[in-house]
Amino acid sequence: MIEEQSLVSALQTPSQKEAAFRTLVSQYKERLYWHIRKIVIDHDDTDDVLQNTFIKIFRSIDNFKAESKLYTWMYRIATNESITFINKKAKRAQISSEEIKEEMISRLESDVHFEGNEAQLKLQKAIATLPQKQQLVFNMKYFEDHTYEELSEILETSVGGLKSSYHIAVKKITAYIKEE
Amino acid sequence: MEDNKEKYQHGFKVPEGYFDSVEDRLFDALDLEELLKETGFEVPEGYFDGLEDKILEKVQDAPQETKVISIFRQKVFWYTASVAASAAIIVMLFFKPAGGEEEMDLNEPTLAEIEAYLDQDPTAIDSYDLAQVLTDEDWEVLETENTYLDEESLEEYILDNIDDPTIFIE
Repeated sequence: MIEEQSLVSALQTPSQKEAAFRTLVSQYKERLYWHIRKIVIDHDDTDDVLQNTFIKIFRSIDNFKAESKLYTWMYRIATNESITFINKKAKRAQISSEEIKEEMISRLESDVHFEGNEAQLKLQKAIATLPQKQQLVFNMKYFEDHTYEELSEILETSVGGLKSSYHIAVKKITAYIKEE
Repeated sequence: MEDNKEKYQHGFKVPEGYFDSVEDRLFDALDLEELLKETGFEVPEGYFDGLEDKILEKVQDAPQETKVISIFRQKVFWYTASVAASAAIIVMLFFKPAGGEEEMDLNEPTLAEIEAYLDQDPTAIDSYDLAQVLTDEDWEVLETENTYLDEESLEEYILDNIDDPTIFIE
Protein backbone atom coordinates (compact mmCIF):
# COMPACT_ATOMS: atom_id res chain seq x y z
CA MET A 1 0.00 0.00 0.00
CA ILE A 2 1.35 3.37 -1.01
CA GLU A 3 2.20 5.58 1.90
CA GLU A 4 -0.67 7.92 2.64
CA GLN A 5 1.36 11.12 2.69
CA SER A 6 2.89 10.60 -0.76
CA LEU A 7 -0.50 9.62 -2.15
CA VAL A 8 -2.03 12.83 -0.82
CA SER A 9 0.72 15.01 -2.28
CA ALA A 10 0.34 13.24 -5.67
CA LEU A 11 -3.41 13.80 -5.50
CA GLN A 12 -2.82 17.49 -4.89
CA THR A 13 -0.38 17.81 -7.83
CA PRO A 14 -2.37 18.45 -11.04
CA SER A 15 -0.04 16.45 -13.30
CA GLN A 16 -0.22 13.35 -11.07
CA LYS A 17 -3.78 13.71 -9.84
CA GLU A 18 -5.49 11.28 -12.20
CA ALA A 19 -3.02 8.43 -11.76
CA ALA A 20 -2.97 8.92 -7.99
CA PHE A 21 -6.75 8.97 -7.92
CA ARG A 22 -6.89 5.65 -9.75
CA THR A 23 -4.60 4.20 -7.08
CA LEU A 24 -6.78 5.67 -4.36
CA VAL A 25 -9.92 4.13 -5.86
CA SER A 26 -8.22 0.73 -6.14
CA GLN A 27 -7.09 0.86 -2.53
CA TYR A 28 -10.34 1.95 -0.98
CA LYS A 29 -13.15 0.85 -3.32
CA GLU A 30 -13.97 -2.36 -1.48
CA ARG A 31 -13.70 -1.02 2.04
CA LEU A 32 -15.83 2.03 1.24
CA TYR A 33 -18.29 -0.12 -0.73
CA TRP A 34 -18.96 -2.41 2.24
CA HIS A 35 -19.18 0.52 4.62
CA ILE A 36 -21.82 2.20 2.42
CA ARG A 37 -23.64 -1.06 1.69
CA LYS A 38 -24.36 -1.63 5.38
CA ILE A 39 -26.00 1.77 5.57
CA VAL A 40 -27.97 1.88 2.31
CA ILE A 41 -28.49 -1.94 2.02
CA ASP A 42 -29.29 -2.15 -1.71
CA HIS A 43 -26.43 -2.89 -4.15
CA ASP A 44 -27.48 -0.42 -6.86
CA ASP A 45 -27.96 2.36 -4.32
CA THR A 46 -24.54 1.55 -2.88
CA ASP A 47 -23.00 1.78 -6.34
CA ASP A 48 -24.48 5.28 -6.78
CA VAL A 49 -23.37 6.47 -3.36
CA LEU A 50 -19.88 5.01 -3.81
CA GLN A 51 -19.43 6.87 -7.09
CA ASN A 52 -20.71 10.12 -5.59
CA THR A 53 -18.34 9.63 -2.66
CA PHE A 54 -15.32 9.27 -4.95
CA ILE A 55 -16.42 12.26 -7.06
CA LYS A 56 -16.63 14.33 -3.89
CA ILE A 57 -13.23 13.08 -2.76
CA PHE A 58 -11.72 13.98 -6.15
CA ARG A 59 -13.23 17.47 -6.03
CA SER A 60 -12.33 18.21 -2.44
CA ILE A 61 -8.89 16.63 -2.23
CA ASP A 62 -7.21 20.03 -2.70
CA ASN A 63 -8.88 21.21 0.49
CA PHE A 64 -7.77 18.13 2.44
CA LYS A 65 -5.57 19.12 5.36
CA ALA A 66 -3.05 16.74 6.82
CA GLU A 67 -4.59 17.31 10.28
CA SER A 68 -6.79 14.25 9.82
CA LYS A 69 -5.99 10.93 8.19
CA LEU A 70 -6.98 10.48 4.54
CA TYR A 71 -8.64 7.20 5.47
CA THR A 72 -10.88 8.68 8.18
CA TRP A 73 -11.63 11.73 6.00
CA MET A 74 -12.83 9.46 3.18
CA TYR A 75 -14.93 7.41 5.57
CA ARG A 76 -16.50 10.61 6.85
CA ILE A 77 -17.46 11.64 3.31
CA ALA A 78 -18.84 8.16 2.57
CA THR A 79 -20.87 8.19 5.80
CA ASN A 80 -22.30 11.65 5.08
CA GLU A 81 -23.14 10.71 1.50
CA SER A 82 -24.89 7.53 2.66
CA ILE A 83 -26.93 9.30 5.32
CA THR A 84 -27.89 12.09 2.92
CA PHE A 85 -28.97 9.43 0.42
CA ILE A 86 -31.10 7.55 2.97
CA ASN A 87 -32.70 10.76 4.20
CA LYS A 88 -33.58 11.86 0.66
CA LYS A 89 -35.00 8.44 -0.11
CA ALA A 90 -37.08 8.53 3.08
CA LYS A 91 -38.31 12.03 2.30
CA ARG A 92 -39.40 10.98 -1.17
CA ALA A 93 -41.35 8.09 0.35
CA GLN A 94 -42.62 10.45 3.08
CA ILE A 95 -41.49 8.23 5.94
CA SER A 96 -38.66 8.46 8.50
CA SER A 97 -35.12 7.27 7.74
CA GLU A 98 -35.52 4.49 10.33
CA GLU A 99 -38.73 3.32 8.64
CA ILE A 100 -37.13 3.25 5.20
CA LYS A 101 -34.26 1.17 6.58
CA GLU A 102 -36.68 -1.35 8.06
CA GLU A 103 -38.53 -1.46 4.77
CA MET A 104 -35.32 -2.17 2.87
CA ILE A 105 -34.35 -4.90 5.32
CA SER A 106 -37.75 -6.53 4.90
CA ARG A 107 -36.99 -6.81 1.18
CA LEU A 108 -33.66 -8.55 1.83
CA GLU A 109 -35.14 -12.04 1.74
CA SER A 110 -35.94 -11.67 -1.93
CA ASP A 111 -32.80 -9.66 -2.79
CA VAL A 112 -30.61 -11.53 -5.27
CA HIS A 113 -27.56 -9.87 -3.76
CA PHE A 114 -28.22 -11.15 -0.25
CA GLU A 115 -26.98 -14.61 0.56
CA GLY A 116 -27.19 -14.41 4.33
CA ASN A 117 -28.52 -17.22 6.46
CA GLU A 118 -31.36 -16.87 8.92
CA ALA A 119 -29.14 -15.62 11.75
CA GLN A 120 -27.52 -12.99 9.52
CA LEU A 121 -30.92 -11.79 8.34
CA LYS A 122 -32.14 -11.60 11.92
CA LEU A 123 -29.07 -9.58 12.87
CA GLN A 124 -29.72 -7.12 10.03
CA LYS A 125 -33.33 -6.79 11.18
CA ALA A 126 -32.15 -6.12 14.72
CA ILE A 127 -29.67 -3.47 13.52
CA ALA A 128 -32.44 -1.73 11.55
CA THR A 129 -34.36 -1.13 14.77
CA LEU A 130 -31.55 1.03 16.20
CA PRO A 131 -31.33 4.81 15.84
CA GLN A 132 -29.09 5.88 12.93
CA LYS A 133 -26.07 6.82 15.05
CA GLN A 134 -26.11 3.51 16.94
CA GLN A 135 -26.41 1.63 13.63
CA LEU A 136 -23.29 3.35 12.38
CA VAL A 137 -21.31 2.69 15.53
CA PHE A 138 -22.40 -0.94 15.70
CA ASN A 139 -21.64 -1.69 12.02
CA MET A 140 -18.27 -0.03 12.11
CA LYS A 141 -17.21 -1.61 15.38
CA TYR A 142 -18.69 -5.09 14.99
CA PHE A 143 -18.22 -5.82 11.28
CA GLU A 144 -15.39 -3.51 10.31
CA ASP A 145 -13.29 -3.69 13.48
CA HIS A 146 -12.50 0.01 13.61
CA THR A 147 -10.90 1.23 16.80
CA TYR A 148 -12.84 3.70 18.95
CA GLU A 149 -10.19 6.32 18.16
CA GLU A 150 -10.80 5.93 14.40
CA LEU A 151 -14.55 6.01 14.94
CA SER A 152 -14.16 9.13 17.03
CA GLU A 153 -12.41 10.88 14.14
CA ILE A 154 -14.86 9.64 11.49
CA LEU A 155 -18.07 10.33 13.42
CA GLU A 156 -16.73 13.34 15.31
CA THR A 157 -17.92 11.97 18.64
CA SER A 158 -16.02 11.37 21.87
CA VAL A 159 -14.61 7.90 22.56
CA GLY A 160 -16.74 7.71 25.75
CA GLY A 161 -19.90 8.51 23.81
CA LEU A 162 -19.06 5.89 21.20
CA LYS A 163 -18.40 3.21 23.81
CA SER A 164 -21.75 3.82 25.41
CA SER A 165 -23.49 3.89 22.00
CA TYR A 166 -21.94 0.53 21.11
CA HIS A 167 -22.81 -0.95 24.47
CA ILE A 168 -26.44 0.19 24.17
CA ALA A 169 -26.60 -1.09 20.58
CA VAL A 170 -25.35 -4.53 21.64
CA LYS A 171 -27.89 -4.68 24.46
CA LYS A 172 -30.78 -3.72 22.17
CA ILE A 173 -29.74 -6.23 19.51
CA THR A 174 -29.45 -8.95 22.13
CA ALA A 175 -32.91 -8.13 23.47
CA TYR A 176 -34.38 -8.07 19.95
CA ILE A 177 -32.93 -11.45 19.04
CA LYS A 178 -34.08 -13.03 22.31
CA GLU A 179 -37.60 -11.72 21.79
CA GLU A 180 -37.92 -13.05 18.26
CA MET B 1 -7.39 1.47 50.39
CA GLU B 2 -9.65 2.51 47.48
CA ASP B 3 -10.65 -1.06 46.59
CA ASN B 4 -11.67 -1.95 50.11
CA LYS B 5 -13.54 1.28 50.52
CA GLU B 6 -15.51 0.47 47.34
CA LYS B 7 -16.08 -3.10 48.55
CA TYR B 8 -17.49 -2.09 51.91
CA GLN B 9 -19.87 0.39 50.36
CA HIS B 10 -22.16 -2.21 48.84
CA GLY B 11 -20.35 -5.45 49.41
CA PHE B 12 -20.57 -6.70 45.81
CA LYS B 13 -17.58 -7.71 43.74
CA VAL B 14 -17.13 -8.75 40.12
CA PRO B 15 -14.53 -11.17 38.73
CA GLU B 16 -11.41 -9.51 37.40
CA GLY B 17 -11.77 -8.27 33.79
CA TYR B 18 -15.55 -8.80 33.87
CA PHE B 19 -16.45 -5.47 32.29
CA ASP B 20 -13.82 -5.82 29.53
CA SER B 21 -15.62 -8.73 27.96
CA VAL B 22 -19.32 -8.06 28.53
CA GLU B 23 -20.04 -7.59 24.82
CA ASP B 24 -18.13 -10.71 23.79
CA ARG B 25 -20.00 -12.87 26.25
CA LEU B 26 -23.35 -11.48 25.18
CA PHE B 27 -22.59 -12.42 21.59
CA ASP B 28 -21.28 -15.83 22.58
CA ALA B 29 -24.52 -16.49 24.38
CA LEU B 30 -26.43 -15.65 21.25
CA ASP B 31 -24.16 -17.51 18.85
CA LEU B 32 -23.25 -14.19 17.31
CA GLU B 33 -19.68 -15.18 16.91
CA GLU B 34 -17.24 -14.96 14.02
CA LEU B 35 -19.79 -16.56 11.71
CA LEU B 36 -21.87 -13.43 11.92
CA LYS B 37 -18.99 -11.11 11.17
CA GLU B 38 -20.14 -11.68 7.61
CA THR B 39 -23.16 -9.61 6.70
CA GLY B 40 -24.53 -11.90 3.99
CA PHE B 41 -24.50 -9.09 1.40
CA GLU B 42 -23.15 -10.07 -2.02
CA VAL B 43 -21.98 -8.06 -5.05
CA PRO B 44 -22.56 -8.99 -8.70
CA GLU B 45 -19.63 -10.96 -10.11
CA GLY B 46 -16.82 -8.77 -11.42
CA TYR B 47 -18.34 -5.62 -9.94
CA PHE B 48 -15.07 -4.36 -8.45
CA ASP B 49 -12.99 -5.00 -11.62
CA GLY B 50 -13.18 -1.95 -13.82
CA LEU B 51 -14.72 0.22 -11.12
CA GLU B 52 -11.75 2.60 -11.40
CA ASP B 53 -12.52 3.29 -15.09
CA LYS B 54 -16.20 3.82 -14.37
CA ILE B 55 -15.46 6.29 -11.56
CA LEU B 56 -12.74 8.16 -13.49
CA GLU B 57 -15.11 8.56 -16.39
CA LYS B 58 -17.75 10.00 -14.04
CA VAL B 59 -15.25 12.33 -12.42
CA GLN B 60 -14.22 13.70 -15.82
CA ASP B 61 -17.83 14.13 -16.93
CA ALA B 62 -18.86 15.87 -13.73
CA PRO B 63 -18.77 19.67 -13.99
CA GLN B 64 -15.61 21.18 -12.57
CA GLU B 65 -15.96 22.73 -9.19
CA THR B 66 -15.15 26.41 -9.03
CA LYS B 67 -13.21 27.74 -6.13
CA VAL B 68 -15.45 28.60 -3.22
CA ILE B 69 -14.82 31.88 -1.51
CA SER B 70 -16.82 32.26 1.65
CA ILE B 71 -18.95 35.35 1.24
CA PHE B 72 -20.55 34.89 4.63
CA ARG B 73 -17.46 36.18 6.37
CA GLN B 74 -17.40 39.46 4.53
CA LYS B 75 -19.37 42.10 6.37
CA VAL B 76 -19.32 44.23 3.23
CA PHE B 77 -21.51 41.57 1.61
CA TRP B 78 -24.23 41.96 4.22
CA TYR B 79 -24.12 45.76 4.14
CA THR B 80 -24.32 45.78 0.36
CA ALA B 81 -27.05 43.17 0.35
CA SER B 82 -29.19 45.05 2.89
CA VAL B 83 -28.76 48.39 1.10
CA ALA B 84 -29.64 46.76 -2.22
CA ALA B 85 -32.68 45.06 -0.69
CA SER B 86 -33.93 48.32 0.87
CA ALA B 87 -33.40 50.17 -2.40
CA ALA B 88 -35.36 47.50 -4.26
CA ILE B 89 -38.26 47.76 -1.81
CA ILE B 90 -38.35 51.57 -2.07
CA VAL B 91 -38.31 51.40 -5.86
CA MET B 92 -41.17 48.89 -5.81
CA LEU B 93 -43.24 50.97 -3.37
CA PHE B 94 -42.87 54.39 -4.95
CA PHE B 95 -42.33 53.77 -8.59
CA LYS B 96 -45.20 51.45 -9.38
CA PRO B 97 -46.05 51.34 -13.07
CA ALA B 98 -48.94 53.62 -14.03
CA GLY B 99 -51.05 50.61 -14.98
CA GLY B 100 -51.40 49.82 -11.27
CA GLU B 101 -52.78 46.37 -10.68
CA GLU B 102 -50.83 44.50 -13.30
CA GLU B 103 -50.68 40.80 -12.75
CA MET B 104 -47.31 39.25 -12.08
CA ASP B 105 -46.07 37.54 -15.17
CA LEU B 106 -44.18 34.88 -13.30
CA ASN B 107 -45.39 31.36 -13.11
CA GLU B 108 -45.35 30.83 -9.41
CA PRO B 109 -44.37 27.30 -8.51
CA THR B 110 -46.37 25.49 -5.89
CA LEU B 111 -44.75 24.40 -2.63
CA ALA B 112 -44.92 20.78 -3.74
CA GLU B 113 -43.03 21.61 -6.94
CA ILE B 114 -40.33 23.41 -5.01
CA GLU B 115 -39.99 20.46 -2.66
CA ALA B 116 -39.80 17.99 -5.54
CA TYR B 117 -37.18 20.16 -7.24
CA LEU B 118 -35.05 20.34 -4.10
CA ASP B 119 -35.37 16.60 -3.64
CA GLN B 120 -34.24 15.73 -7.11
CA ASP B 121 -31.92 18.53 -8.07
CA PRO B 122 -28.44 17.05 -8.21
CA THR B 123 -26.92 20.44 -7.49
CA ALA B 124 -28.87 20.80 -4.24
CA ILE B 125 -26.72 21.66 -1.27
CA ASP B 126 -26.52 18.97 1.36
CA SER B 127 -25.16 19.25 4.87
CA TYR B 128 -21.72 18.10 3.74
CA ASP B 129 -21.46 20.84 1.11
CA LEU B 130 -22.58 23.35 3.68
CA ALA B 131 -19.96 22.15 6.13
CA GLN B 132 -17.31 22.56 3.43
CA VAL B 133 -18.24 26.20 2.85
CA LEU B 134 -18.90 27.37 6.38
CA THR B 135 -16.07 27.89 8.85
CA ASP B 136 -16.29 27.28 12.59
CA GLU B 137 -16.76 31.01 13.04
CA ASP B 138 -19.78 31.00 10.73
CA TRP B 139 -21.36 28.18 12.69
CA GLU B 140 -20.84 30.07 15.93
CA VAL B 141 -22.56 33.12 14.46
CA LEU B 142 -25.45 30.98 13.25
CA GLU B 143 -25.74 29.32 16.63
CA THR B 144 -25.80 32.57 18.58
CA GLU B 145 -28.31 34.05 16.18
CA ASN B 146 -30.62 31.14 16.82
CA THR B 147 -30.46 31.05 20.59
CA TYR B 148 -33.74 30.71 22.38
CA LEU B 149 -35.62 33.70 23.64
CA ASP B 150 -35.28 34.38 27.32
CA GLU B 151 -38.33 33.88 29.49
CA GLU B 152 -39.02 37.57 29.96
CA SER B 153 -39.21 38.37 26.24
CA LEU B 154 -41.35 35.31 25.72
CA GLU B 155 -43.80 36.38 28.41
CA GLU B 156 -43.91 39.90 27.01
CA TYR B 157 -44.64 38.53 23.56
CA ILE B 158 -47.45 36.32 24.82
CA LEU B 159 -49.02 39.20 26.79
CA ASP B 160 -48.86 41.52 23.80
CA ASN B 161 -49.99 39.15 21.12
CA ILE B 162 -52.24 36.46 22.47
CA ASP B 163 -55.82 37.31 23.41
CA ASP B 164 -56.99 33.92 24.57
CA PRO B 165 -57.60 34.39 28.33
CA THR B 166 -57.36 30.65 29.07
CA ILE B 167 -53.61 30.82 28.69
CA PHE B 168 -53.33 32.87 31.90
CA ILE B 169 -55.09 30.24 33.97
CA GLU B 170 -51.96 28.08 33.93
